[in-house]
Amino acid sequence: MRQDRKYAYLLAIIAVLILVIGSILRPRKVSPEISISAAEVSRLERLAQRQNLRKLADYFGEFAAGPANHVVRLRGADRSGVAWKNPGAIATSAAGLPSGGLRVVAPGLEEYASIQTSSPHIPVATLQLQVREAPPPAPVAESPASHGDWIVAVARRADGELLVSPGLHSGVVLSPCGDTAYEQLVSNIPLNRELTGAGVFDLDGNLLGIVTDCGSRLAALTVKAVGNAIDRAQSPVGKLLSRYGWKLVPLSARAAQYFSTVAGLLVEEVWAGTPADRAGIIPGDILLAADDSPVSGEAEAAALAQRSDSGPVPILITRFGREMRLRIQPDTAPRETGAAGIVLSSGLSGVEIASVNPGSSAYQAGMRSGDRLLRIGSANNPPAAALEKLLAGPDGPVFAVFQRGALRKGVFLTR
Amino acid sequence: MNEVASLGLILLLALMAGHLVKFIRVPEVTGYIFAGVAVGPFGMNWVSHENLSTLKVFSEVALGLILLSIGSFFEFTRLRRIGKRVFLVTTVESAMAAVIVGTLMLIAGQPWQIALLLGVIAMETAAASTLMVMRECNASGPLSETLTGLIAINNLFCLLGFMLLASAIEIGPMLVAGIDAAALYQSLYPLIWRIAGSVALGYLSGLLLSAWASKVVEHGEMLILLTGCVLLTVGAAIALDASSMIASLALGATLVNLSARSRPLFDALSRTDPPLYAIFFVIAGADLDLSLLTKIGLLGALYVAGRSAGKFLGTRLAARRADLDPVVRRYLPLSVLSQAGLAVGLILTISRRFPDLAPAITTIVLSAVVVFEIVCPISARLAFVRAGETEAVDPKPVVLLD
Repeated sequence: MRQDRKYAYLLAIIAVLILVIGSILRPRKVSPEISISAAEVSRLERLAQRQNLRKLADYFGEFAAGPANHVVRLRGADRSGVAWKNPGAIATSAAGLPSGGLRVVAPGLEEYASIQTSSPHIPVATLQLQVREAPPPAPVAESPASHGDWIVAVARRADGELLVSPGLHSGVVLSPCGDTAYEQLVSNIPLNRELTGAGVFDLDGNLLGIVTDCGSRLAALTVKAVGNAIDRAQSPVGKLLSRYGWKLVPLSARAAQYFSTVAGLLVEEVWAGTPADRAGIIPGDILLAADDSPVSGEAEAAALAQRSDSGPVPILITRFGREMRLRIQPDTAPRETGAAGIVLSSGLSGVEIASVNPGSSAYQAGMRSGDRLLRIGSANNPPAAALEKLLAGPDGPVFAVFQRGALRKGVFLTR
Repeated sequence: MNEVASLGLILLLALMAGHLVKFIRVPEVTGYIFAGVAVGPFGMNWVSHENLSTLKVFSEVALGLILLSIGSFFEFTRLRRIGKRVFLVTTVESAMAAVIVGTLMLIAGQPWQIALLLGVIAMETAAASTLMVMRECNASGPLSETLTGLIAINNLFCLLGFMLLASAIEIGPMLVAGIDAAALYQSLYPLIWRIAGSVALGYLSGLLLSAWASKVVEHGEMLILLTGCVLLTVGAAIALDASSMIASLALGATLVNLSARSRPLFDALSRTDPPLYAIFFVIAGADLDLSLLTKIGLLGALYVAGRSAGKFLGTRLAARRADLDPVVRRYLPLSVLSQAGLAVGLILTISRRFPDLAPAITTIVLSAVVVFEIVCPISARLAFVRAGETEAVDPKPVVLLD
């Protein structure tokens, strides 16, 4: 072999050929043994996607257990509420909220809450629970959610179960809600009536906003916007609006010149169905005096808003130069009335039942929140104050008539 | 500890252990292996699994050089002289080891696949540790020559047997379920490729080495040429999914037949490679899990006993039949028992190709390797000493050249 180079080179050529052919013939990666049709591939993809969606839904279901501690159902108002900053405070959408109070329902909690802050021009209201075991306030995110983050609206349905609606956050816009523009969360969460009052949370469980009724639509107001709205409701102007339904503003130079007066406060807004409306006050009136004291600035207006006497207020107004003396009856916060276990509120169409304590004689008799109380004993259509006195009267049964839609029904209540 | 420090530690400990075991007349290889066990992950963990996997490249090179040396057995003049006889002895001892171990496993209730795979693995005689003992003893003579040839052919038999069996295990179910051409090709291709491709690769590298060797005279250059060719061959074999073992054997065989300068090349190598071999055996030791000895169990004991019996009796019977030198007849059975490198490599292949069969085979073979690697270098050394083939002079190359 050493002598014969010819054989060596021949073998080299054969070796090269073996390596080249062997590399070419090398089996590639094993292809699937069964050919899969395009329809099957598509079906498998759909199955995989459905599986992913199920996992996503499961995730959000489990996630909602955290925010659920802060979300309550407001019975009789057909909405949810979210535990707000102060202990026992509940924030919710204001529109259509019965005046007075409501029953707050959550797992292990069913208590009466009075309306603390509510004003006709403010889209949010707060209620106050008087119990120690009130839901803890939801933590608030230190930094706002970023574009594309998952956010989740969590509401509590009438049956106490959670309604969880996830979506992607797209930013914050300043947009009108009622008479004022508020910061609102933009997302693809479909906001429907079931979500009214729901809390919107990020995936860390921080509260980002509250779903609020803005008249023709629902919007998720940011926490900051809700806070601003509540501050506005708690201002003297807001309190006057809340209690009397009017908005009083100091006279500007132009208004003073036009109305030919320098004293008093201008009535800029009057909300329908409110004490101011019932007293016959119209925008353009100028309030000169209340409780026989002259009203010239915001200090007097604030005093009027905080007036402790719930009786009618004698007022003096001027309407295009003509002075008029009127009486305005402020709204009073409803209270639970005696052993009957019902909470009354004065509505536009008479005295309404704001809520009924479950287990009370009124509840057993079939009364429910939203019913209108027509008669107690022999008193027909009495005002709320008189009804309360009658219900708190001597022990024993009293016959009451209430109306629900087209039905009028008489029942015995135990006092 | 980082890889560089691990390497330093390995070398110094190997030296120390080599000196220590000399006092009790045990081969240095055994000392290296014990040093590896002591510093390895199953010992003091100075050399971690991560270090070992990085240092594996040294093992690849060392094994390539060892097989290059063994490949030198296939020199045509030698093959003509003793080839037939060595072939007969190797065939008989390998077959007997395989048959006895396979039968014992079947009797012990193992599935036929496990029994046959263990039988095939039992055929292997460790090239590295045997050659190292031979080298340490400066062994030369008929026993050393026969043993080198036996190891070369034996490792080829084992590899071929394994590839055939693995293909049969894969194709077996197909014969029942219906033959799938693609799967059949998938399973037969490696069988042909690993033999033909590896031999072709080794031959081409050998041709390059032989052609270049005539132009290189200086010792350092020769070493660079030889190491470069071995590394290239082993690396190309890994990249082409061929057998680096067969390719290295083919490289050695080509070199010894085509180049008139093969002796100076092997001489250059033998003066430089001891650190590499020390690293190889310490790493091999570090991979040994002595705790497996407690788990060897009945099957492991049967494997050790069956393999030892098959190899011993097969070598003895065939050596007599082949009319080998009386010294060889007497001491060859003692020197063919060691088992390591290829067996461990085959276990890795089994765990990749037959994952459901791997756990049982891995435990049995690895525990047996622990036994054979500790005991057999000692028996091999004893054989060389008794055969009178040891010399107390400077180390000589392992390669056996006329």
